[in-house]
Formats: sequence, structure tokens, C-alpha cells
Amino acid sequence: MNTHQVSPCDDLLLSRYQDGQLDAEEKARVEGHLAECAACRKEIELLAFFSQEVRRRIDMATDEVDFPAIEKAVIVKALRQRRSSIGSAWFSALKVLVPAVAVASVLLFIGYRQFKEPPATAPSAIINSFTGPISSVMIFETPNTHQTILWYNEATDEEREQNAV
Amino acid sequence: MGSKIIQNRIVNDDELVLRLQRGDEWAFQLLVRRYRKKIYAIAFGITLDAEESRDILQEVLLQVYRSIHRFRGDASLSTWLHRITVNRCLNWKRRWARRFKWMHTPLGEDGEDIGDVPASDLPSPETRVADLQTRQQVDKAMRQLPEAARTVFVLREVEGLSYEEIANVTGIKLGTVRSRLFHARKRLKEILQPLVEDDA
Ligand SMILES: [Zn+2]
Repeated sequence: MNTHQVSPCDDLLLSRYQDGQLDAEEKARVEGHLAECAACRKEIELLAFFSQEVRRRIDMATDEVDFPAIEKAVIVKALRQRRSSIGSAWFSALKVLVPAVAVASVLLFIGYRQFKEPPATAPSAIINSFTGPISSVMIFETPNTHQTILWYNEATDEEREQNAV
Repeated sequence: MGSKIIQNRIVNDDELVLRLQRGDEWAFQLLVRRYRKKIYAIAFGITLDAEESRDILQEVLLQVYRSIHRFRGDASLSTWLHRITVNRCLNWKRRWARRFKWMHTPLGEDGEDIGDVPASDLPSPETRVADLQTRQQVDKAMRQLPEAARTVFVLREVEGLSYEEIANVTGIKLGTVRSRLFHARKRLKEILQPLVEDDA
């Protein structure tokens, strides 16, 4: 971009500059560079514009939410939870049973589907899922073909995603 | 909820936590009001789905209600809430469901169009078209970011968190925050720049 003694273009530095994460010396260097380099000035402008568009997009989404209704629903659920938590000690015994029931219901469901008319197409829906110690299963319905799909997922998936990129 | 009226007094987060732990019901309502918009904005930024974001908002608030007695103040209340929200959004079931849904519902076919805007406060047709374009372009671009990069980008750009706060919320290293933000911007630029130049 630049031919004389100006410091070279540095996108990573610009990204940190935009976030206000530079120390005084780095900041002076970037600003010195920006004074000389039209390409980087344009870059900064573009980045700021995209950020603004993303914020605007999210503001639009937030403006459409009926927060009072959600608040009401949450408070009702919270109070109900509180009242029912007292007599629920025996409920923890069910934990052992749940995976078994889940497996059974999945098998039943798959069997049942052989005889059932395909339902009206809703966009892909999770029909059922359960998590086990070794692998987890999720069952989807595809909108077009009405296939049932099992996704196997190892327990370490979460960490793998965390470490990616 | 409850008959107790809070005087015109600002209850800071530390006090809010104490009141919640003591079981004051008004404190939960205050928490909901203080954080509902932030939680929703993060959830929407990551999931780009209104229905899913509403569910996540409810789940996060209920989880806080259930587990507030375990909150020890190692992180701030807001960091803790951000962390719970991000974890909910990146829960493997949700990630898979999202991937699956995006594969099968191209943009503009998910029922979210300009018809959603209530008739009483309609902006001008030009603004509505521009808004719809923004929506679709931004959604399309954001969908193309890896989940981890999108998360960091949303925490930075929407919530205005510092690199250090982002590292605390997501449990990744400072250098990783920096590089994910850089890559997110680079990718967004690749996707959005041609559109900007078309308009010119
Ligand atoms: Zn330059």
C-alpha cells in the first residue's frame, strides 16, 4: 500500500485498534500509519460500518420481543419450581430410570413411524434426544423426506468446539 | 410479584445477589428486568433465531434462580450470566439443531419478513426494504462464521466486553480472543464487502 518509510499495513493491529486494545505506543504507530495510508483508513471505516450493521440487526430483533410476557412466564415458572422443589427428593431416584425410558420410547417411536402417515411439514424438528455416558443421540425429522436421523455425538464435542480455531 | 416496593434506590449487583440468595422475590424480578435484553441480544447474535433466543432467555433466568445459592462471587454477576447464556447457546444439541435448520431453511424462508412489523408504526417503504436487506445480509454473513468466532464477535460488538471479559466468559485465552475477533472481521469483510461495493 505504501512506498516510503511508513510502517507496513497490519490488519491484526487495526482490529485491536478498533477495540481500543492498544497501548499508547502501538496506538501512536497505528494513527501515524492511518494518516498516510488511505487503504487502511477505508478498512477501518468498513469494519466500523459492518459492526454497526450487526448491532442494528440485533437491535431490530430485540425491539420485536415482548419482554413483559417473557418476564411473566419466567416468574410463574420460577415460583412453581420453588414450591415443587420441596417434595421432590424421591424424584432423583427417577434419574436412573430416565435413560432407559428414553431408549425405549425412541425405539417405540421408530417402530411407530413405520405405520404412520408423514406429518405436515414443519421445518426440521428435534423429535427426541437423550444423553448417555458414551454417546448421545438426537432424532430429527427432515422437512422434505420425512427421514428420521440419528446423530451420534461424543461427550468431548463441547471441548473440541472450544479449542477449534 | 410481591408487595414490596423498592424505593427509588439503585440496587447494585452485589446487593441483588444477596437478596436473591435470601429468597426475596422482588430481587428476581429486578434481575429479569436488568438483564433480559442483554441476554436476549447475546442469544440472538449467536443463534440468529428469535424463538430459540426466547427459550434461551427463559432457561438462563430459571437456571440463575435455581442456582443462585451456589454463586460465590468469584466472577461478577454479569460475567456469570454471560457465561450461562453462552453455554446455553453453544450446547451441543442446540448447535446441531441450528446447523440442521440452516441447512434446510435458506434465508428469507423462515417466515421472518417485513410483514412482521406492526402496521401502526410502519417506517417508510424505503426504510423497510433497507432493513430487510440488512437483516438478510447480516444474517447470511453471520451464519457463515464459525460458532466460536461468532460468539466472541457478538460479545465484543454487541455487549462491548473487553478482551479480558470475553476470555472470562468463554474460558479461552486472551490471545485466542484476539485472533478469533480478527478472523471474524476478516471473514465478514470477505462476505459483506462485495455487497457494499455493488450498492455504490
Ligand atoms: Zn495501510
